[in-house]
Amino acid sequence: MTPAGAPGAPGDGGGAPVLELREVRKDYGSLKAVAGVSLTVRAGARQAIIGPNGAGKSTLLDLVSGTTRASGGRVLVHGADVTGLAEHRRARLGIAKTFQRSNLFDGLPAADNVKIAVQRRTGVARRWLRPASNFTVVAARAAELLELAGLGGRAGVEAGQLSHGERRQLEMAIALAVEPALLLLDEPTAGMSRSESDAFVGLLAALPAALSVVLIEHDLDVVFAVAGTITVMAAGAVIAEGPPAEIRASPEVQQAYLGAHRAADLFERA
Amino acid sequence: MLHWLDANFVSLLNGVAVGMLLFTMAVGLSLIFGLMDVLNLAHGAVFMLGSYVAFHLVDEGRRFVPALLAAVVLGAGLGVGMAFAVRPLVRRGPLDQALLTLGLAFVLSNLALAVWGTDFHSVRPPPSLGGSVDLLGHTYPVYRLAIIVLGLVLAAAVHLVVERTRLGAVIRAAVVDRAMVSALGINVSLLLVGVFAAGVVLAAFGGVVGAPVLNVRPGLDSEVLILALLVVVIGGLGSLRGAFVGALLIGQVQALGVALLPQQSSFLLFGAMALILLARPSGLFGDAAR
Amino acid sequence: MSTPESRQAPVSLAEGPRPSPAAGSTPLGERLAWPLRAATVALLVAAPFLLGDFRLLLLGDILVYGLLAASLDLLVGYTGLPSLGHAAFFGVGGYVAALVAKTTVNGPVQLAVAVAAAALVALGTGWLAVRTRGVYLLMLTLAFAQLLYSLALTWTPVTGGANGLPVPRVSLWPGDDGSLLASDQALYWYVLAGFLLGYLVLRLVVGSPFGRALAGMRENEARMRSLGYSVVGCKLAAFCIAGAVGGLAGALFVQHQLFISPSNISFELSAVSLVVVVIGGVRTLYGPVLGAAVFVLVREELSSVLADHWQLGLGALFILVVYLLPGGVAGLGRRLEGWRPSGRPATEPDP
Repeated sequence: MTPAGAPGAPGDGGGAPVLELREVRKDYGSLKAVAGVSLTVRAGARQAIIGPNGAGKSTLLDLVSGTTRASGGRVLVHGADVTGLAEHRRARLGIAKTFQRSNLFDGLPAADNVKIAVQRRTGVARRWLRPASNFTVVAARAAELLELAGLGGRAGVEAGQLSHGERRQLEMAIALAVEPALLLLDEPTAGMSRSESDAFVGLLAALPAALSVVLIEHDLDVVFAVAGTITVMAAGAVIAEGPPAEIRASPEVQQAYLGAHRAADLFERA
Repeated sequence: MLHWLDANFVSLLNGVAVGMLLFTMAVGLSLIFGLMDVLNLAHGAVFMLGSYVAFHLVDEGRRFVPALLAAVVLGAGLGVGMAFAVRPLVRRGPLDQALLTLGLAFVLSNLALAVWGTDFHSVRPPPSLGGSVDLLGHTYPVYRLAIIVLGLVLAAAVHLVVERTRLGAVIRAAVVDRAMVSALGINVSLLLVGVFAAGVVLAAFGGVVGAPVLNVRPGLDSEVLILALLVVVIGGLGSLRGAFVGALLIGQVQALGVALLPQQSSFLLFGAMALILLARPSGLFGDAAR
Repeated sequence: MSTPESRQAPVSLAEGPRPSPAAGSTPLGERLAWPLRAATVALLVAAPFLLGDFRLLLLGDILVYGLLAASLDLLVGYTGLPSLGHAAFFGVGGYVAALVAKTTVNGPVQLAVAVAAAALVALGTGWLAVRTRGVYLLMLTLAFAQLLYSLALTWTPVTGGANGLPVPRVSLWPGDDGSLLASDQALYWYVLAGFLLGYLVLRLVVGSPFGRALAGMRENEARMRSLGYSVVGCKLAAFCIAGAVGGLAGALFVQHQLFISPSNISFELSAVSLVVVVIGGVRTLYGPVLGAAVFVLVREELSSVLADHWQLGLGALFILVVYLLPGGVAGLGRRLEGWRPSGRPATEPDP
């Protein structure tokens, strides 16, 4: 693991596009939550989506995962058009998502939360007449993942009883359990302390290089530590996209965020 | 076509009469659900109690008015009681509340059994509405016509209250957004209890009115409840227009079915319901957001 | 920091090795589980030697209704699908067994056909039912059950209508002329075997990876979808299993009571089943069986005293239970954790 706080190795990948969005739209009546976004994410990419509140970032992620159906445009995963595909089928193609507000199985122990995800991945989920304990591979893998997420000693605790940071860690463990090709993170460090965020950056740095990560973040420290490409959204559209240095210097981005005179402070700090 | 209408004239009218009776129940069920997300499974028991009250008080068709009044009082008491009984469970969600009303239905129907036994009873209609009248070449009981008229009056009254009065506006608003109405300074608890009571009163009222045309007996509660549930499901929970249309529809299918296709009438009913739910999961007029 | 999972002895069917927070500290519930189960089964097997004929008959009734209630628990407690129409499967199983009895009196054959029929009905109705939720689901299940009830009531040439169908005693295997199960004791053991089979299936399902998936769905459907689970598919599978076991209960009933009528597929039975599940304890599987026992015993013992009013008591008890359940009917499972003598929090809900 790379030391906490040090920037991971950002990459924009060089392989085939894992995800492609073509003029994707989502309208709620006359409200254009996402207004024609096009985006490409390659294997191994670390891409951050930033922007002011209400820019449509979460909706965009929902459109990728299939939680929300697009009003127009195309979503392609590994080159295949999944625009009309149901959420659970898209998930099986290798998409994993964490939720903006921790969305766990609160009444179940942390270990079970992960096991549910692992058993899906190992194809064991359908077995209905053999005791779950027979499938030791599931328990072993779950323990591994919990360890990786820093929750080794908390396996038996009910998810609802975990601290906020621990819940975020559990989210990650679950997301990784399905061995995704594309990991979608919706504000993963929201509510985390500084040290927790640093630990999280370290976690991201330790992820497999071939895994593509798209994350929505407000914490610009994390963004600049992790991202190889930054996409900036405002009012449902992409207003800028590029490597961190470029984005940092972009006047449009500064304008969109806070107005020019405040943005300088914000970007200088990061 | 005309010939068929003529041949089945009596059944068609019966269908409307049954529909009106169902409407008295469906209004309450629909409103209570629309406002409070509570499926009042005790509604059928209340209707049955109303019928038993009629049996108890009506003597050869006399003293119908006291019976109606008694039913109203009983309904109001039960309705207020039920509203309060359900309240502690609001936080637990609609399922627990529905189960509670199921328990209440159990208790009420067994109370009726304890008091009045297992016999079937019949009730005479009031003498002023007894007898039959000539209608388009058929003789038809006056009392059933009275039921139809009463039902229409009730529907009109409900419509007026809901659409034209301030109270109705408040109710409609509360169905959409209870918190907002409360924030406007209106005592929502009182409103909910009141609506619950009103719905239950209507059911009891319907029970009295319906007693002369139905057999007053144990098991009436389940039968009526199931039909009323069909009505609100088809018409849409929370929609009064749906309750009216649904009641007429179900009443017709029931009456015509029993007359023409007794073996298959239930199939028609429940099959229709399944189909409608398939096509429109919130019923014909229901709010899709539910 | 990693947990010493290897030092675990698997204790229950529900979950695998659990991390042990301290050496030698297993929940009391788990330590009692196997001895209790063994004792219960032993008692049930020994019952014909302990009880008189009439009481044995009652016990048979308890087993049959208990199995029905347990199958409903799978639906309501474990999958979160409240149903007011479970009697439908009981009735389908019973009527089909009764009809098959006209061709063959072979018990297991009747059971197999009845279970298949009930599963098919569950598939057909479940397909629509699992797409609805909450009160709509309640009403839809009610409607389907009523449909079948009216069919039973009116299709007289086949179902005997309101009079029902009498059923001959079953035989155990081809060649047996019925002598094997001629005695009440033998018949009871046959019913017990059927009950244990059905209950075992339910237990295994609940403790399987699929059962774990059901728990996940109960807790958080959206999450399950995002993990790639087909929520509708899982629910439908649970619906079919519950329906099949309910059908088994119905077939056993018919073979035990030698009679079936529309009252065995009525709304009253569905309502009572739900009441019994809640009173006995949602999401335990054995709780509903106990609830059924209470129901049958109270019905028998008190009906002589209170005539038809015993149901009043049941209703009042039901209301009480609905009020007093912490977290309500839906949240009950979370409370059912093994109590650890050392006082530490338990890992998972007890089976």
